[in-house]
This record gives sequence, structure tokens and C-alpha cells, in this order.
Amino acid sequence: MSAGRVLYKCGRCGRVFDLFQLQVLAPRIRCPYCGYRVIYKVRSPVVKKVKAI
Amino acid sequence: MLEEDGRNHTDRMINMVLVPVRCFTCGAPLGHLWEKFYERVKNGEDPEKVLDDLGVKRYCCRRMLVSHVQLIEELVHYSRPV
Amino acid sequence: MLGEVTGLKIKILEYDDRSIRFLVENIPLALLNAIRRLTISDVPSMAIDYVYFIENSSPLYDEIVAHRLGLIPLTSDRALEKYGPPEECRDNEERPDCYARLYLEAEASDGTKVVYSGDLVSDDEDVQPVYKNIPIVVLGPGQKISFEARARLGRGREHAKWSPVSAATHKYVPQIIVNSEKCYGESCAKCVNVCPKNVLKIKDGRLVVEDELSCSLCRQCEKVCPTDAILVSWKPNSYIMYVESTGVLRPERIVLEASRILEEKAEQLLSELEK
Repeated sequence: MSAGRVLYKCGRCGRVFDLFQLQVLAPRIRCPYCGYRVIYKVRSPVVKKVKAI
Repeated sequence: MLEEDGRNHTDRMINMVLVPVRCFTCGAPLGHLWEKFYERVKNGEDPEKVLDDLGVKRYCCRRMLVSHVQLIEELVHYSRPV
Repeated sequence: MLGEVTGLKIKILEYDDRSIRFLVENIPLALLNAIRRLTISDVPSMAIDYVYFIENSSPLYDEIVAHRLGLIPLTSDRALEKYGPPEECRDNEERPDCYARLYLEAEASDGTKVVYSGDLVSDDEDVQPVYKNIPIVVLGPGQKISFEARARLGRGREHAKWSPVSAATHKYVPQIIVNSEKCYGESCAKCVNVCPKNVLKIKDGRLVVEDELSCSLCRQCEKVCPTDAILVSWKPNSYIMYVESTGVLRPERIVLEASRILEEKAEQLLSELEK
């Protein structure tokens, strides 16, 4: 997985897909596999540096 | 949001979700006192006496504990399923 | 105004792990106030500066967790000698003596789990959370959090989390003078009831000053006295100082460090002037 690629996860079936699959397989914003309309962004695997202020 | 005692706390939703680590005004650490405070008050002790007992002297620190609503306990059930 | 400081005397009134209250005699107010202000802004202590998040599926954002971590007091008594000064260590993560590392990895299996400051694993035993049960975050079923935090020495002037004190005050030493010829004693006792600090008492029908030092010089007793028998005053060049630590350093250490910093600053000024 590259750092720039954003992944999405279905809120019901839990399958992971990217933006391309989302646009091609589903006409609207919904899971391309089960059609569920709640979709989460998957946290990028990069370590994130945050200043503790 | 209905509490066990039937009171509605919706108007207090603006409160912090989780106990503040320190007093907003003077910076005295308080986060570690919350659970003791909450348990004792829930068991019917007078909040004033509990605060005195815990050594929370100033009113800036006292309001931190007295006015706190631990919303994260409820919120966590609606957070992202993994 | 300052002049020479002679005959300085210190008497400790109250002392415990968290706070110190002492009486200083023969000290100019400006000098004592300089020390007081330095305890707040210049005495260094350890606090988390950066957090590297590996995973966080908790209900709180990374930034909120990092903020909460920054506010956790870390023991600094030995770290003061061990770690580099704040000015050199700021954003200097390559230097080996600058940052202490604290790790945390937690996962809630089923049911919710509270992650406490005591769960932090430090790579330096001298840098530990002062209080072990500060809640950092609450995890729901299956949620995870994993991060590495870096702590360094800092000063209160940079961020309040590095300030070692939660209260640093000084006040005048009160002197309450009662004119027993004018005072009605027990039959009046108006001042006894009006005093918010309960300084005055009636003993054997006469007015006595019982707890002079806790007087806040509010002068309510003067105001209420029908015969002007009571007078609230203060001693010159004597003060009561109170320092309350957040737990990072011992209270007397904070005052000592502040005095040392003041000395350093004065010497710096002197050497600049002599150039």
C-alpha cells in the first residue's frame, strides 16, 4: 500500500476498496459489493507525527 | 440523553467528552481524581466533602470535577466499528 | 529600591510532597516576586512534546490524545541533570540526551477499556507519569491505540504544560493590632463574625487574634468595628510565599531552581555590562 492511496471500508460487510473501484463498480457513494451507504475511510498505514500542544 | 435518575442532560452536551487532565485555569492535575470523585458521589457522599477530602482547594479546580459529564462512556458505543 | 539584602530569614510554615508555604523576612518584594515568576515560567520540567501515532481507532482524534498526553505531569527530579536544556533540545530529535520515549499499545477485546497514564511504558525510569490513573482515552470493543511519545525538558514560557507549579503566590505578613481599651469584647464581637478567615476569637470575654497569618488583609473587621479598636496592618519586607507543585518536581526544588536561574540571569546581565 502506498501512502497516497486512500482506502475505504464498508460499514456493513467490512470489505475494503479504493476510489477507483468505488466509481467504477457503484454509480453513487455506496459499497460496490453490498450496496451499503455507510463508508469509512481507512486509516493510512503511515506513522503520523502530532505535536502535543 | 436520559440519565439513570431520569434527568435530561442534553443541555450539558457542550461539556468535555473525557475528564480534563488538568484544571483549565490553574493547571493543577485533576484527571486522576475523577474516578474516585465520581464513585464516592454516586454512593451518596456530599460532593463538597469529597472535594475537600481529595485536596481540591480552589474553586477553579472544584468546578472542573463538579461540572463534568463523562460523555465518552456513552459516545464510545457510537464510535467507528472495527 | 532593592539595596542590600541583609538578615534574610526563612521559616517553613507548611511542607508536604506537593506544596511549600514559607515565611521570608527582610527581602525586597521585587526580588521575591522575580523568584515567584521564574518558578512559573523558567524552571524546566519534562512533558511530552511529540507523539507518533501508529494506530488509533479510538473515539478521540490523534490531536486530542496528543494534547492530553502533553498535559500529563512526568517526574523530572533526576531528568533535570540528565537531559539537555530546552533551548538546545527544541526540535532537535537527533541529539541523544534530549528526548525520553514513552510507548503505549492497548486494545479492547470485548467491552470498553479505559487507557490510563500508568499504562505508558517509559524507556527511562526517571521519567514516569506522576499520577498513574489519569484516563487518556476510552476504547470501544475491538478498538486499538498504539503510539510512541517523545518527552523533553521545556519551560513554562513555551507552553504551560512545562510549568512545574499550579500555584505560586506571595502575600504580606498580616499584623492585627487590637486596642483593648476601646474594644467592647464579647458584647460586640462583630469582627469575629465578619472575618472570612476566622482569624479572631473571643476568649474569656476578650477579643484575641488567634490565627494571624491566615488573615487576607480584607479589613472587614476594621470596617465593622464601632469604636475603631482594631487595626489591620502588615510587616515591612516580610512575605509569605506559597508554591504548589504539579508533582513534577519537589516544591523546595522549584524555588531553589528559580533562585539559581535568577542568579544566572543577573550574572549574564553583569557580564554584558562589563564588556
